[in-house]
Amino acid sequence: MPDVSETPPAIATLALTKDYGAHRGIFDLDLGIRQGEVFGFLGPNGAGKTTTIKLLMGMIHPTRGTATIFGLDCEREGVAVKRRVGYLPGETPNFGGWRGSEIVAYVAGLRGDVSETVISSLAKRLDLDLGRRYREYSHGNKQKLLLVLALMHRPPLLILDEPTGGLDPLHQQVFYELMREAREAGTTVFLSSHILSEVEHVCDRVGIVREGNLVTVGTLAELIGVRARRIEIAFEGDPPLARLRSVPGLDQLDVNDHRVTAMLRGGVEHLLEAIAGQRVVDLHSREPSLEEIFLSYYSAPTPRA
Amino acid sequence: MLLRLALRLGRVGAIAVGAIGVAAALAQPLAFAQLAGNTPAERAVFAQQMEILARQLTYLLPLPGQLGTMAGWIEWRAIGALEVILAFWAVMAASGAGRGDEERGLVEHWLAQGVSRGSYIGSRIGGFALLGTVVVTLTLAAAGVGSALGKEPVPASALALQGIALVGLVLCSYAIALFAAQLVTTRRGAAALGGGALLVLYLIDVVARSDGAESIRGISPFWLYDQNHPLTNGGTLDGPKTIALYATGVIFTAAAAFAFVRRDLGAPLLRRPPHDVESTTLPAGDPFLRLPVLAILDQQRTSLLAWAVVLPALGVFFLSFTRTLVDTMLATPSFRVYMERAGLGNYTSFIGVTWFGTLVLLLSMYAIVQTSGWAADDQEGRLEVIASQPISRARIVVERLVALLAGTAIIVTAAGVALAIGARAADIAIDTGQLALGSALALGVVFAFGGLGAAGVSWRPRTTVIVLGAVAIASYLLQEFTPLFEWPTWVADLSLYALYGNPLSGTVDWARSAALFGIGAAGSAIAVAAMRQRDIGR
Repeated sequence: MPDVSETPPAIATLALTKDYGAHRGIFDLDLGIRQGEVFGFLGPNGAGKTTTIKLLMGMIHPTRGTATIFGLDCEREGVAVKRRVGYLPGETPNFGGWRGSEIVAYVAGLRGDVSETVISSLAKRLDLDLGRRYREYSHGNKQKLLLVLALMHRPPLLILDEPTGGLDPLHQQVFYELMREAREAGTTVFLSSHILSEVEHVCDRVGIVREGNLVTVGTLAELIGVRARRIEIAFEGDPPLARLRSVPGLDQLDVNDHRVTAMLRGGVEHLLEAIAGQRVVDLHSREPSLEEIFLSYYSAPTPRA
Repeated sequence: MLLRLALRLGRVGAIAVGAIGVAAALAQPLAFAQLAGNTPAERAVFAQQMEILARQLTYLLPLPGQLGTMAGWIEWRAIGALEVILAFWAVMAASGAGRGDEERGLVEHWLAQGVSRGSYIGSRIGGFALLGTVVVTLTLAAAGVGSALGKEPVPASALALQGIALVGLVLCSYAIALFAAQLVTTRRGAAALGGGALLVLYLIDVVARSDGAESIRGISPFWLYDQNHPLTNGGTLDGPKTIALYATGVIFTAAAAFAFVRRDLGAPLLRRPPHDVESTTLPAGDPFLRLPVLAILDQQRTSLLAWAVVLPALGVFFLSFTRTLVDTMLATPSFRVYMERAGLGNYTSFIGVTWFGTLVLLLSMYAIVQTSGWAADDQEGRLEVIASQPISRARIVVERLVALLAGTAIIVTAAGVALAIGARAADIAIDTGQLALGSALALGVVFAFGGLGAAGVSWRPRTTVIVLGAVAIASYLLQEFTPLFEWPTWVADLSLYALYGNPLSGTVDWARSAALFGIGAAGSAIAVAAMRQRDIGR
């Protein structure tokens, strides 16, 4: 693993903004991703994930702010950046009647530093026949081909926009294996997804984006275990709703007869104060799933920059 | 609902073709009123001059008749050129309905909503029939208005009869192209097969215009259409041939609908027997695919080969009648005046003006087709894949333009060699140095169109293709009409092709040639800057 204190971050953005108008785009994104890290960029459709990725790849120009990859400016040093990046676009392109082998050869020619052995190995592992024409490929096979194009030059950074779309469960597992191997080899991975299980499988840290704003970044452990927990309390009498509602960090409050469930962020002392004097017959506290965390960010009011 | 959808999908093409048709049908009668003269003697001279032009253009326009009358002029000039334009529209519409929407997954989506295949294809056919009828009606109405404004009105009943025949041709062309679309799997293939079939049928009509192809001309819908002359004095709608035209359309429409209902989505009607495709996990061994520029040419090898065969073939075909045509025209004193005014006084200059004028128009079309491909690269996501590789955006633009020029060089070389051989066979002396120079300078025309196209495609992809097509056609017509109507020289100079000149006759204006390359260079520079500035991705 590279020494993070001496090497530049794999990805760094500062107030990165692409404003398409009508609150569409990505706004004031400040993000730092260390080398060797696998980072998941999580959000529903239209949240700004693809916009962020296109900004990093220099496909689109920022309205303001900057983005660097390994210390290189994504705008001004695009060629050098792309030499270090393997990219999988969010939408499958149309290569018509080309054979898979021709597409790979063409892109390898543009890149110039690709080993046929690596291509063959990737195609075999993904069970992809490069002899077939692109238009004959299923959606999953097109995605596999794009994965081959992204991985074939063993880049130090992978930027993958919803990489498992169309892959069957078997080949999703192959993809997770490839990501694990890449991480072991020191590769940084930035992948966007709206599939929580995918992020749980492979990511060290997760950023959650909502309506163009980054609402939180943390390790899975931080997001799941430390600051938030699912609370379930059964009271003998009526729950003290007024006091519960005033507890800082307690939301998603749901009352069912004498039973209360809620999500608690932060410490438990305020909650204990709120229920003091009440007869509690049962109390459970557990870590929420990532899905619950995710939904908790999406049920909160829209943050504005 | 389905019909509305079909109309919506076809509206852009219909509006474009309708605009061209209405503009031509309105402008031509007005031009006739201004140019043909008022006395019988002036009309006779005008008709003679037009006859000369018409004989040169039988590959583009029908045989002329009564060119000294408004009706004859409308039939030949205003409506004659629409045959090809409407057939082209029919091919594009049919390939889109027959394959394009299927390629995009729209047909699968609609059928999944519970729409029957019969309803779907019926709505597309009905939608086009409706649009075609509207376009033809508006066009002929414009011709009627134009003739009235020119104070020589053509009866509405005659225009209606002409409309019946023209609608028949449009629908027949659409039906043939729609059936062709069932035999292939891609829109491009459908356009190529449908367009190719109609081109063959059109060429049969072209040959028939010179009294050839007697035994097979009846199979050409263009010939069936050309036999109708309801506008001119003594002419009428040829009932049996018009019925044959409609019957052909109905047969092909039924065949296309049957094929669509029977075949698998995404598959051709006739499947080849299953064959084992060699399975591989290795990249292609083709070395050209890995080399700049050559990779682009390699991808286009089939279409490039087609251009490099068709253009030389057209050149040889042109040479085959050059000697006879020039001799006949020069033997007629009144024609000789026009020939000399237009710079067509001998075989070489005739070839230089007429063939090279056509060649640069066709090469412009080649550049426009490439421009359209660049727009498609962007819209279909290929540009994003290319731009994600470690190459500069400037290199993408430069490689495209160099590939365009290299492809053009191959085509003009083939055309030049064929012309030299054909000229020798026809016993026409052509200076090979001038021929090489003319071919080389044709690169300037393509560079100009390519540069403008590259610049425009970064900004407005679809509009750019349409505008470039309009520039090419307007430039060609300005060159054709200026000597004919004795317009001032500056009118001809508005044509982009005026910068090309007539190198075969040794009249090379180097400043103008440099201007062509300058336009190309300026367009390329703008294209590079625009490519750097623009966002990529759908």
